[in-house]
Amino acid sequence: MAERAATCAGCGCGCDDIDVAVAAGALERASGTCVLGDAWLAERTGDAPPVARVDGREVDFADAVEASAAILGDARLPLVCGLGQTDCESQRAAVALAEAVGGVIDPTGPEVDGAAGAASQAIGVSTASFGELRDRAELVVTWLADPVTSNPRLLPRLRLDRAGRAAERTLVVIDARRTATADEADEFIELPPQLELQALWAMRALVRDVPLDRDLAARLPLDALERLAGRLRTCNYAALIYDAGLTTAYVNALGLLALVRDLARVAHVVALPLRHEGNARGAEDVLAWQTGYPAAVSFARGHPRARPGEFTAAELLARGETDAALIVGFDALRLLPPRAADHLRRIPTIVIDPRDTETGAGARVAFATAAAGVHRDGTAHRMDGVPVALRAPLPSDRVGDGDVLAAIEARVTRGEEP
Amino acid sequence: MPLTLTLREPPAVPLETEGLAPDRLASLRRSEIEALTVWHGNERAQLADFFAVSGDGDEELLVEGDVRRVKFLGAGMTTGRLTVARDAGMHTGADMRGGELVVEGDVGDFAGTGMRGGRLVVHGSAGHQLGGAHPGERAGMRGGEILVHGDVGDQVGAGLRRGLIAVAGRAGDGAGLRMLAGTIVALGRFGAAAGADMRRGTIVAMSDVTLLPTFTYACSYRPPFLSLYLRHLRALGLPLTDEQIEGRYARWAGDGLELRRGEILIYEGNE
Repeated sequence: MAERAATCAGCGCGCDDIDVAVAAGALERASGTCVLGDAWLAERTGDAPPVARVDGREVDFADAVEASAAILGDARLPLVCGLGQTDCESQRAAVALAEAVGGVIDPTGPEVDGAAGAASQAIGVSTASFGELRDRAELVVTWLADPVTSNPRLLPRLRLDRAGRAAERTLVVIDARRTATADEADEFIELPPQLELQALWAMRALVRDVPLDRDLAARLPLDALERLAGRLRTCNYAALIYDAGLTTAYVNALGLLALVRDLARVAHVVALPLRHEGNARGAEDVLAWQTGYPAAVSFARGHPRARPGEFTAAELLARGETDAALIVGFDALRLLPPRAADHLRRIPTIVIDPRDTETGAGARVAFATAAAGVHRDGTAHRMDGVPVALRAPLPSDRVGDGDVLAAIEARVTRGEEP
Repeated sequence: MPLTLTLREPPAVPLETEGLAPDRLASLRRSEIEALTVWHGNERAQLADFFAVSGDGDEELLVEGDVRRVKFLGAGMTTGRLTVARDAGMHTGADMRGGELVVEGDVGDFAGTGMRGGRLVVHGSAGHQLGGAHPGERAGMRGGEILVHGDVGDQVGAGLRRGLIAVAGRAGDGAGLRMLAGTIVALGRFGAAAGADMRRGTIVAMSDVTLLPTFTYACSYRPPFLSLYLRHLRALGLPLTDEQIEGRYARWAGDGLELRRGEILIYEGNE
């Protein structure tokens, strides 16, 4: 039995200190993982569906590639979505394919809709890596986020859990209810989610000494927010952790980043968005690097145009405006809103996923690939933007997501080039 | 009979039709109109592939059929009159500079984006980001008038720099977000965060509005300019009462996080 090093991409933490024991080419056990990591590994090491299927029947890989190329070549507005669970190299191949077929590409995960990305382009972000947060941040605030549940190893890695936290460091949790993260905190401030906007604007006023109408703010926990604002103003280094997956309203994301910007006038404060999917951050980074925009990009006219709302995958599908879809590593039928999923059932879909999913079972063409981080090397971007190497502790004779995407791109022909 | 474009059947994917504006079409022959480029998704096509062209008229254009998936109708128009007989798609009247665009039904998101002049009238409801800004631009609508007889979605007049937006129904969340100047009037309720980060300009609320705590009460008065504005809007068909036109308004100044030169005027009655 051999011990091999691995990187977990079960959430946005990208823990690269995992050891897996391998015997006879199969996973024996993993050490250092959390519950999400165990589930992630189990999903990718279970029984895999056939390499290529068309309408549920097993076919040759080359035939499935031809069928995919024909669907995408005939489509007038194909959609490429998913992407948060594959490696950066495959994401890059997905952008190239979207450009070749004149489609729309939008990273789509369980809860991400690009509001945070659009807000960060309007306001700008001050952020930092895990290492800097661990070594420098003396005050950490989680804003309607529950990392103990969504990213279990984050607090220990930042030495912010109760057991590992130094006495001079403080963790404050602001949330609707007492979460698992609140149990680790020094202070818990209860804030109903419908008051989030009011609270953000009140906090911004408090940290900037702008007069505040106390009657309008009467429903807020103003004393606690005032104490927190005072602490943020006087600290040497603070961090605000929020949940990029839950902050779906553009105005809320805007307010949060504006609070960090306002604080930058008087203190060193950074923001860290939590990511649920292993490489959701990488999908945004690759898209921004290749097209100039982090999400919701259309290549229909030959050049990239971005418009959150118009080209956001879930909304495009819900309006029924796309005539084919290619989904990479995302169980869309189960996780998209019902109206979007309904349209997905009506149009031809191509699914590229190492797992056996409902979306794959219902797809016109389904590829089962070697999983990045389990069977294939690659790169993922941690939620703080730091690239980590994904390793391949297990062997596989299958190809990766990127190879399938490149093979389809090589076979696509379109009637007319723009 | 005015120049009429009739959509034969709804396209499978959205049709992008920049430049379908009365002023541009007025100088073209029938064959030239039929040969105009439209984009059906990622495919370049000709107008005649989708629309039947009939009638003739200078400066007046009628669009008929189910054009909910037709984008950019009347974008960039400068003069003349464009009427859409039913619901219109996204980006209707974007970058309009003059003339009148009337939509008899609803209109999709991003209508009147970057508008600089003219008048956009929507008899139904409008989607999100009406009169908003192009992505990456700080300022949205810079002039002209938008009149909506139904409701509007979120972020109406976001980044508004000049111009007037009037809504007979409700407005969604984030109305006047980061607005720089200009005026937004709604007879129905406002959603959350009206006037968030506004610098200057006026938001007029005829019914209750939940204010952000960074707004401060200034006074209660009868703004002389407002009765002029409201009379103008009543002449355009907005159902305003004499009490509202002559009434008292509470003035809340904000957003305190920006210049606090903006105001939200809330109707108080006319005692």
